[in-house]
Amino acid sequence: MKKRDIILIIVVLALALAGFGLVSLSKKNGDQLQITVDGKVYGVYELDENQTIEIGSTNICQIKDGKATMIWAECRDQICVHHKPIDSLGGSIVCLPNRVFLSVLDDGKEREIDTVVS
Amino acid sequence: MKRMGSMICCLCLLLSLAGCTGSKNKLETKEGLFFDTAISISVYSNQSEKVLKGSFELCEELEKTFSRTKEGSELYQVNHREESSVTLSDDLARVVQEGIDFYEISEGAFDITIAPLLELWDFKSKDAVVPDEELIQAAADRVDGSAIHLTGNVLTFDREDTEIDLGALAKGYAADKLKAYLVEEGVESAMINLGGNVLAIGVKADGSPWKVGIQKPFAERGETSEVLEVKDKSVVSSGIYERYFEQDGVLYHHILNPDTGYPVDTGFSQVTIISESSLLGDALSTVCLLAGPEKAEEITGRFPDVELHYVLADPN
Repeated sequence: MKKRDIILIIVVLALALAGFGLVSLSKKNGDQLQITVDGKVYGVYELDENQTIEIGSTNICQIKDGKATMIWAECRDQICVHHKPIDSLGGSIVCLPNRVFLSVLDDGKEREIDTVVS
Repeated sequence: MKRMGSMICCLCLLLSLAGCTGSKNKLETKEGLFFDTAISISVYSNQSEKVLKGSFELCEELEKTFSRTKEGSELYQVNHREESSVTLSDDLARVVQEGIDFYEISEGAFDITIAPLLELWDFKSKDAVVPDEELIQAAADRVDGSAIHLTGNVLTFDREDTEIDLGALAKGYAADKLKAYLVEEGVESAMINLGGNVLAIGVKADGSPWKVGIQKPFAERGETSEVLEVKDKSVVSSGIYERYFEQDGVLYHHILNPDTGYPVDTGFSQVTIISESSLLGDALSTVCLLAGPEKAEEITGRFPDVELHYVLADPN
């Protein structure tokens, strides 16, 4: 093998490693909350950042200490407001009248519960 | 030439490294609203987008068959018929037959001609109140499961004022149909949740069973009382906590006695059925609620491989 071959191998390998690193970095480590309205993705939010999200004019979601809750909903049944907070263990909160879904995105981690029969 | 060889080697290495970070066979979930409830379908598949889309199209189709309230649905047309005999689609005939079978098994307690009472009570409304006694009587008089007869796909009505509701069966049937579709598409691992009907296909990608939580009656939504580990099984819960309202300190829930027209005094808060078929689970969960603890054990005992779990009602 010539010296230039070795250099080439090193360069390509370095590129590969750099690419690998970049992809890993761009994937956030924390869990994410996805909000959809009427089947369309409204936004994806970091569960480890405290924030309040207004969802159109119908719902307000709060993320606090890694837990997401619906704190306000303009609807008659208020079922989503009385839902248990969801966190990195998974789960979803649904506001049926306004067609709003909050769900923790699957990160392939082992979960206590995959789904709930209500 | 040699240089080309080593370059190709490195490229292969690069590609394989990139592959590690990819998401081949990640659990993909799609959520939506069908059958008056929130549904979610999750699959491990290398063509998840396609099969999830197909699943939702199937739900749309089934909703157009079984919805009692959607004008233009097949059931709506059957309820607003002009002739005393109507020919049903295969899907509708299958579910109506299940309803008739369970009318007999439950000795009339489970009655798919309950529609007039459901319409009157309107449990979905926030301002639900107990209807007038006379109106309840009039509606209960129209409920009569012995007045419908299915021969092949032809449904014959003895009375003009009979209306059918399949809310206690349609989701179970839909779950079974979705499973058949996904399996046909080569999916080996999936989770179908149609409100109270869960149907697991296979096990999870890592080989472990699906974990299905059971809602704790009257607790915060999402709070579970039990977690079942299942493989290729349907889990269906029915309970008096799902749709109810209180008036003058009395709880009125949506499991109605077809004879009296009032909520049934069941003895159960919740019944969960674990079975192979979700249609069977859906039917049995409601039949058991209506029948009460003693008969429930006896009825489920007639079906092999059916497991009954329950929470008894608070005596107060």
